[in-house]
Amino acid sequence: MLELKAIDVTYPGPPPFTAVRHVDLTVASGTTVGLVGESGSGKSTIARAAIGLTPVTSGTVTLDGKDVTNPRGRTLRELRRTAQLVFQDPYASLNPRMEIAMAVQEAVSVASGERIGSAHCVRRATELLDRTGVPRAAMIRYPHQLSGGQLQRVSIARALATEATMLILDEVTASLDVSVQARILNLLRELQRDLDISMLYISHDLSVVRYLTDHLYVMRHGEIVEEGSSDVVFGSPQHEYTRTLLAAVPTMGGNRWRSRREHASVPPLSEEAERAAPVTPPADSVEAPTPVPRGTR
Amino acid sequence: MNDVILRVEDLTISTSGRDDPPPVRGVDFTVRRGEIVGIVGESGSGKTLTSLGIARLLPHGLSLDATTLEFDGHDLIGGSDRELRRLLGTQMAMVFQDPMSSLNPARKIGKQMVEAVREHRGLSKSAARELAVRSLEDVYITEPEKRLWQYPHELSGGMRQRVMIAMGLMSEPSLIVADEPTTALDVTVQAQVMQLLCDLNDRSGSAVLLISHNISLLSEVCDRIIVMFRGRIVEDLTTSKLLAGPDHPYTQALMRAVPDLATDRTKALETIADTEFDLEEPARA
Repeated sequence: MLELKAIDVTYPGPPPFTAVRHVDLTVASGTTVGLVGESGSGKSTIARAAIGLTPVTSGTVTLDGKDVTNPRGRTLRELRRTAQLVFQDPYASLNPRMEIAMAVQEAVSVASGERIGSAHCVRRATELLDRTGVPRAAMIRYPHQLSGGQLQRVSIARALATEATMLILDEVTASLDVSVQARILNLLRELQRDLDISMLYISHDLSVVRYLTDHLYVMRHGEIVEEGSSDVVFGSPQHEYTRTLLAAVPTMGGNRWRSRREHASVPPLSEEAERAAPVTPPADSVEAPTPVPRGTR
Repeated sequence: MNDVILRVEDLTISTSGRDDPPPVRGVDFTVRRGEIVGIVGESGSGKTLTSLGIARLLPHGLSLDATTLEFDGHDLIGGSDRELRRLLGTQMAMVFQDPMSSLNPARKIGKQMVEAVREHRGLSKSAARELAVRSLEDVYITEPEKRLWQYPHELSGGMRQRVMIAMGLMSEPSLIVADEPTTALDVTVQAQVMQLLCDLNDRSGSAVLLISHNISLLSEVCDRIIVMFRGRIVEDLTTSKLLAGPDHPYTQALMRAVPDLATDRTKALETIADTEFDLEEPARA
């Protein structure tokens, strides 16, 4: 179980920017929790803070009862084994000069202490790649020879290599085509079912989050504005912002914008919404070069 | 007056000097005046190249060939560069995914807007400035006079995209071509931009060609939707036909692949089983 209590994250300035303010978030064992919000809301900062990639200014992070706030040394190494983060751009987190099978063996090796090329590493890497649906033929290829969907499968295989019990998935399907996204979502569902694994699924896509998660947090401007079981939050959103967000999701044949005069479900254009979006995006909403957790490379 | 604003027949876009299959092959479609038409497709479908081809903005190394490419009754293939420039500059507005790359970051909004319209319509500076203010009002930007003195980076993403639309509108185009105009924007801002495009279509009668990977989005705003896959049109259908159930298996699969807020959570998503339409395989060798 992952627990964030009263987390604040302030990026040093000048001027200092508080990306996350007083956030409480829990991912119970074996459940999938969604975190949604628009750009700059602090979603990715939470992902990074949860596994010690971004220092927490105040508050505590615990994983299975152990304090892992701003982890160092041994705590950090253990955390890397139990919690893994998968990013949006899989190409950026794979070594372009390493064959796919090797990249996964490397992760297995770090987790098990066995040498790359050892029987254990080979067997386990093949197992993981099979499990995540990477074709055997792709295993001896290099990252640039694979499609985006296949690369994302490889990233997931690497995250599973440490036998992590907690997966944090940050916009993992955002750059995939819809038909490929559907397959990755199905893979994640299978993993939920077959492995005893907890997931924090971060996305700006509400439809995907609703499909995949049991529990949901809605963030805005660094704060959680609503929380609850996904069915309840999607069924009867309480917070004004959640309602606005849901009303804006395109649906098949929704036909809202064409016939605005008849039924205005989208709030009229206001400067309000624009002002809400910071003029210069805060540091964490800009695609930063993806850092790789030390323990996995 | 001709009812058709854009007529495309047998459009093929090829990569010169390579043996690859042309990225766009034998594409036929028309856009009528005042119509909102969508083109949907996944990566490599040729939807963006088709739109660039129509605007004669193809990057170097790509060549265009078509039996007919007519815009507002004018031939876009045979015409001189000068004619093309005049026609496309005033009558066709382009809106791209990333407004930041179409705006000059070092020049104020007003300067860029005025420059564009003076170039194309030969207006005086003050008349152009007035028109710029009016166009910004048309896209619901408050304090337009103040915005003219701002740089692109001082505006939010949604506002920049609206400035791009306003710039296109200054010349009262009969067709707006918008290629993934909201893909980089948040959903709430996307809703506003869509609302705006629909309002403009309503008010001024400009036809809209809207390119997107999001079939749900297109189904909300378009009269007709063209589905592309690997350089070809697989289906061209009205939105009501799409909602009633499309004929082509790829269109059907595309609709089912995207979860929406009503998708059954207890079932796996249907994926595209037909290997002919499999984008994950084959891997790029």
